[in-house]
Amino acid sequence: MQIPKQTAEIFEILSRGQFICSNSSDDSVCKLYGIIDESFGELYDYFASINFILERGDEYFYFSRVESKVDLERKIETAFKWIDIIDFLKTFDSSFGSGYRFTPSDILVKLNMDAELKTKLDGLRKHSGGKDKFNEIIDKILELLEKDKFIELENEISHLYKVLASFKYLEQLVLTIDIPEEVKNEIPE
Amino acid sequence: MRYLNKIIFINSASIKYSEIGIDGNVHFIGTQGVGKSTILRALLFFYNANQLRVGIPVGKKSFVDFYLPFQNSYVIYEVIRESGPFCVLVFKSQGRVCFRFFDTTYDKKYFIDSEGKAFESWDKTKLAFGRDINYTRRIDSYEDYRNILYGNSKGITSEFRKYAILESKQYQNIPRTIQNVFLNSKLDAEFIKDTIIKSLNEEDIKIDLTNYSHHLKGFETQLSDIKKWTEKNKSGEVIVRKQADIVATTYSAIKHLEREKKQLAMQLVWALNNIEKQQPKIVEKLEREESKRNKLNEKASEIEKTFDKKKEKIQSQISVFKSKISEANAKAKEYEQINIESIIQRVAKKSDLEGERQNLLEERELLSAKFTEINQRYEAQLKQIENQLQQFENSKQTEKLIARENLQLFKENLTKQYEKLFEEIKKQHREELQLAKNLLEEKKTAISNLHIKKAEIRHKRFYETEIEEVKNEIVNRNESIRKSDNDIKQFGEQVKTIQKHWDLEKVRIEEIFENKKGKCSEQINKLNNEITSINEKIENSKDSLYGWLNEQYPGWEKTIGKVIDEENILFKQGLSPERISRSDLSFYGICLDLNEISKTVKTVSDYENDKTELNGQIETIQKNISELLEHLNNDLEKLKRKHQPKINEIKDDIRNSEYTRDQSKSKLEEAKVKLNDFTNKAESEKKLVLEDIETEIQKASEGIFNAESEVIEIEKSINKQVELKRKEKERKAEAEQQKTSDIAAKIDFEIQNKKQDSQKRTDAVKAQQQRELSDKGADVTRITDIEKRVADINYELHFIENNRDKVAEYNKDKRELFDKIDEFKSKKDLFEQQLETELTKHNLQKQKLFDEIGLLNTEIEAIKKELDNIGIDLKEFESFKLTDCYKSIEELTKELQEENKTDKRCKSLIEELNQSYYKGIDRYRELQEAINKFNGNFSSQNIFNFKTNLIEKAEYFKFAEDLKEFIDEDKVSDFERRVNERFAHIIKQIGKETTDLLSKEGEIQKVITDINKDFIARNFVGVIKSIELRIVSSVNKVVQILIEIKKFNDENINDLGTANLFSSPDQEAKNKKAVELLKQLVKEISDFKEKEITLSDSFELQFRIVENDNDTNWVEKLSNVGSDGTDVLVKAMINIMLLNVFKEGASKRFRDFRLHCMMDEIGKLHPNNVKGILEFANSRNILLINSSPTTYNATDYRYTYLLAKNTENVTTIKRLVKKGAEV
Repeated sequence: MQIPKQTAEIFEILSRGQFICSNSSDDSVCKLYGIIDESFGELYDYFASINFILERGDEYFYFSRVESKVDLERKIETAFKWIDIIDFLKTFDSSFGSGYRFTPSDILVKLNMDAELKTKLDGLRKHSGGKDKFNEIIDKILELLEKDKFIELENEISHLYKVLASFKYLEQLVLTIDIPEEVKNEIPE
Repeated sequence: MRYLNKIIFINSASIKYSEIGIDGNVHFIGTQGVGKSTILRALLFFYNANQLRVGIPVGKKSFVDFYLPFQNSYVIYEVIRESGPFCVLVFKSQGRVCFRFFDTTYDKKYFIDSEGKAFESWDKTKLAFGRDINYTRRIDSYEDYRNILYGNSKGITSEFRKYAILESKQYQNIPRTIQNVFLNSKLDAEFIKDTIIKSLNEEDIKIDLTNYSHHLKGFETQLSDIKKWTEKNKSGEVIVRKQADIVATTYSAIKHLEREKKQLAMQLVWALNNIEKQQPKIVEKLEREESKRNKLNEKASEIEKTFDKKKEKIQSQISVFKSKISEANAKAKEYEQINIESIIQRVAKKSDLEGERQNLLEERELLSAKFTEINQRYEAQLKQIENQLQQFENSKQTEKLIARENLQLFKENLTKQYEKLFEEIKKQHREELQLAKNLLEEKKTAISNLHIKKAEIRHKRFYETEIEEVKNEIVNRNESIRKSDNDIKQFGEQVKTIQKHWDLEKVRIEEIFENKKGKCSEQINKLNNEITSINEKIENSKDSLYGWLNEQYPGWEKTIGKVIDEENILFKQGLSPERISRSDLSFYGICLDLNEISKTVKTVSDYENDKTELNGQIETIQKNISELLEHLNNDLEKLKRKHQPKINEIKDDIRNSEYTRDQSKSKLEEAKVKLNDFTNKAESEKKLVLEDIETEIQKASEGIFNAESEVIEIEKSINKQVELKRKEKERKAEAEQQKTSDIAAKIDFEIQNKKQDSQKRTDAVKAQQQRELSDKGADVTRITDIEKRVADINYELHFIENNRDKVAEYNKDKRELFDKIDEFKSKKDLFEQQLETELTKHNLQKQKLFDEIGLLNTEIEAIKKELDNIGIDLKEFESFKLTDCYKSIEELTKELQEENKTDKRCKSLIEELNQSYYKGIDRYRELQEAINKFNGNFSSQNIFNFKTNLIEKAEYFKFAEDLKEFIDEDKVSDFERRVNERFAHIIKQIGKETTDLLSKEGEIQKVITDINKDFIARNFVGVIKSIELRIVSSVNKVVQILIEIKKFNDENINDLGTANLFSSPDQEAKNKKAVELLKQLVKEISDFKEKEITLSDSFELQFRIVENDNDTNWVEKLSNVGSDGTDVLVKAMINIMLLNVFKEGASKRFRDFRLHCMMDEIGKLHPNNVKGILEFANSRNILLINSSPTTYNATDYRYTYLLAKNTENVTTIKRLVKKGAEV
């Protein structure tokens, strides 16, 4: 089995729960993407033997693992958080998705015009770890997104962020939520 | 010869006044602290003009405070120059050191007044100068001062030019070296290198890195940006192109939707207008049709009525005949019963019988005529009996009559009574019957309605409008597909035509270019040949007669040159010419006056000139070629600009058409399916409805049947009751009749008895008469027979009399009934037939009407539907007006155009509008996504200037538009070419500059070799085994890369620029290398501190000093060598050496000058070494100024000064020795 020499590098990134996206501004990440793309089969087998499942998304790669039941609750909590955040971002701009560019000030400007957005941001307070001001909450959220490699800071001077292909993963997360017909009309607790 | 001649201190550095001559080696002696170093520093200051670098220790007074403490403190340097000396005045102004130059020999009177006091202001000096002495303005910048002193003409005005000690632009190392010698600074290869370089050339050669870093800025991203357009992924797709395609397609879809929306909006306007116009007309039409229908309905009911009447009439007729027939039948039966035939026969015998009776009576008369009396008596008796009987009979008959009358009366009463009863019964049931009849009637109407409806449905076409619409749509779609196909084909042809035109023009232009180029190349070849031949000539000239002549026979051009054959003889080798020492100028013994021959022989320089000229021509032609090439490129570019937009436009159209076609195809499929659906649906629905109606009709028929049977039932029950009553009545009447009959019978019996009595009495009488008559002789038997016979006849006559009426009646009946019975029957049949015909006729008529009504109903229904539709449409439009979609097209709804005529309904138009509006929103979202995705590939500083931060809709559209253009015009290749050219150019430029830089290496090597040799030759210090310098290749990474690039450029000089950096496969490796090199260069440049690469960066200098057994090895820096003394010595040697090297190189135009080097504490060195170094320096035109507490070898110096301090701490300087001669 011929595995690429960058396998260690790939493992290091993916095993941290991060993504490797095709549209990263970081050339090395782009290169890694190309490498995985080319030898996906080999890498898949390779990682599978150490219990990591290499998953291919739309223009991104990540690891997944078989979950134990104990972890599920925590995972769902996390999923809730992401859903809230996506909800907020999509409200900010419906075209928010892979390749989208924005600055925190864009959000702040929109915030002043859109009451709904404001409400949703208020709702994100609980994920922001005690931050109170809007800009701080936004920064915190962007930090979360950036940490998990859903977005990246493209320009440090203008504070321009770029949404990475892995954002699709979050979108998929929302799409996979199946709300059965009978529960649809129930008032959530 | 220029040199610093004298230094004068006035009120400076604890010296009141002192003039110190320094036009040779100088040695200052004196105890510690008397000011030896002070003077040396002042001298150094002359050279380096740097307060901080004169070796004043930290914490001591600064230069200005120490040397120029007062307003009238001056230090004056007198410099000898070939055109007479000039002076430099150093003074203090506003706390700063300032300079002035003045163009004269130093004279005390210029600064000291008669009382021995120094002037305090420049004015006095000026005055003392008088008119003839030039002086400069005050110079307060050290830089300016140095520029003036070292003759850097750049930046100083001409008035200063005469005050220069040398003429160099790169003088900076001179003061530094002098300073280094004085300060005994550590040795630094860097500095040595710098000095050597600067000595080579006044202009420093350097490579400006900012230039490259600027041009290579974003080089990698640009490269990767471009590569993204060609890089394929695993499945062989170029992702960026695919994404761009998606953007383009989505954008054209949006465009198309916009157009569609616009068209729909216009159509909607038209349709709205149309329905508003149509509505009143339709309402009118509806009214018209409805009145028509009403009329038809009326007509139908009328027909029904007339038919009923007719039917009644005929039926009554039929019943009449029926009753007559039945009457006839009954009567016939009756007559048969009474055997009417025999009766008739008996009656017919009446006259016979009467005649017989008459005869008999007459016979009797004759027989009894004689016995009249007796007869009369008996006759009377008989009469009486008869009368009695008659009377009795009469009374009894009256009785009977009365009984009969009573019966009659009773019967009448009974009838009346029962009549009433019947009426009551009928009345009782009338309502019920009526109800039943009404029900029946209702049912009948219902069924007739149902029949109407059935007819209606049979004529109705289900989903007619829908089917029509779909059919229309199919036709339209087919049409549009056909049109699109045509368009695509046509556009394709157009593109091909344009392409062909383009290609033709291109070929033509290229041919012209090739022709011209071919001509030029030919010329070049020709010229090259000429050059080669000239070269050959020159080459051969040395060995040929020509060379020999040049060498051995000056002036030959005038003599032999005029007659010699240039081609065959002059440049021929191996002629072994030899000079014969005969002085007469004969030519093989012939003397010619060659003045008459104007021929001149070309000299080598002439040939050189020719060559240069030819080269020039070649260059011109090459320039022409490149001009032609440029021209060609321009023309091609022009062509592209001419044709590309057209092609783009058409391609755009093609794309639109394709989109329309695809759209139409899918719509067509949809419509076909719809049509099928509708047809099936219509059929099945019709069938269903018909079946429904059929069942309904059946049900209704059953209902009618039920109703009818109910009516019949009711009627039956009425009849039954009536019948019961009638029977009752009949029973009663019968009883009465019986009673009456009984009475009559009794009476009849009584009468019979009476009659029998009478008969008996009559018989007795008659018998008596008979006897009497017989007694009297009368023929009694005969009479009796006659009488008997008469009685029989009478009986018979009586019977006849009784039955005569009956016969008459029979006859009447026969006449009126029995004979006509066939007629009746036929008439009845006739009427029945008539009824049948009428019924069919009526039914037909009715059916026709029904059909008509049905048709009308369908039409009315259709009209109503249309009206309803209009209503719905208007309502729909009203609600549509509130939507965002309407707002987006509001502008378009202003104008009405007939060309937008459409068959579609407003509702469907609105639906379609909404559909395309929402589709548009969806598409826009898709476009945003696609663009974002696409943009995600590029950084915000991408080479294509793609705007990466899009917000407005317009921006997205603009982006899509631009991107489309970008792809259509294949601008990537432009960028590729441009970038390619640029980087090729950069590589070439780097190659060139690096070559320039490295070209100096040889010269530097030479200098260093010289220095090394010099050291070996002039090493006067025994302990120092060797001093050696060497060049090693640069450790500077940037330089290394530059060299690599240069090598690469040299190897591929012809490949770059023309070939493609990005695509050509055989170039792949080279391109990769080039890219790699440039990348590395960028990286190294960013890591490199400096902004430029100088010559000194291009190599490293190392030196190695071996002193006794101490080997420093090759080092770049050396802080000390051996012990203190050796150290000073070695450093001084190297510095002086450098100073010399520099001195030689720096001032190229003017070399006639001397410099000073100051060395403090010379006592460290052995006198022999002092002597050595003095010689070492002097031999290089450098004077040494030393200081030490005591003197060693005064003869080595021109001046020896003793310094001392008096009690007032004022330094006095005394000259001890002055050697007469100069160095």
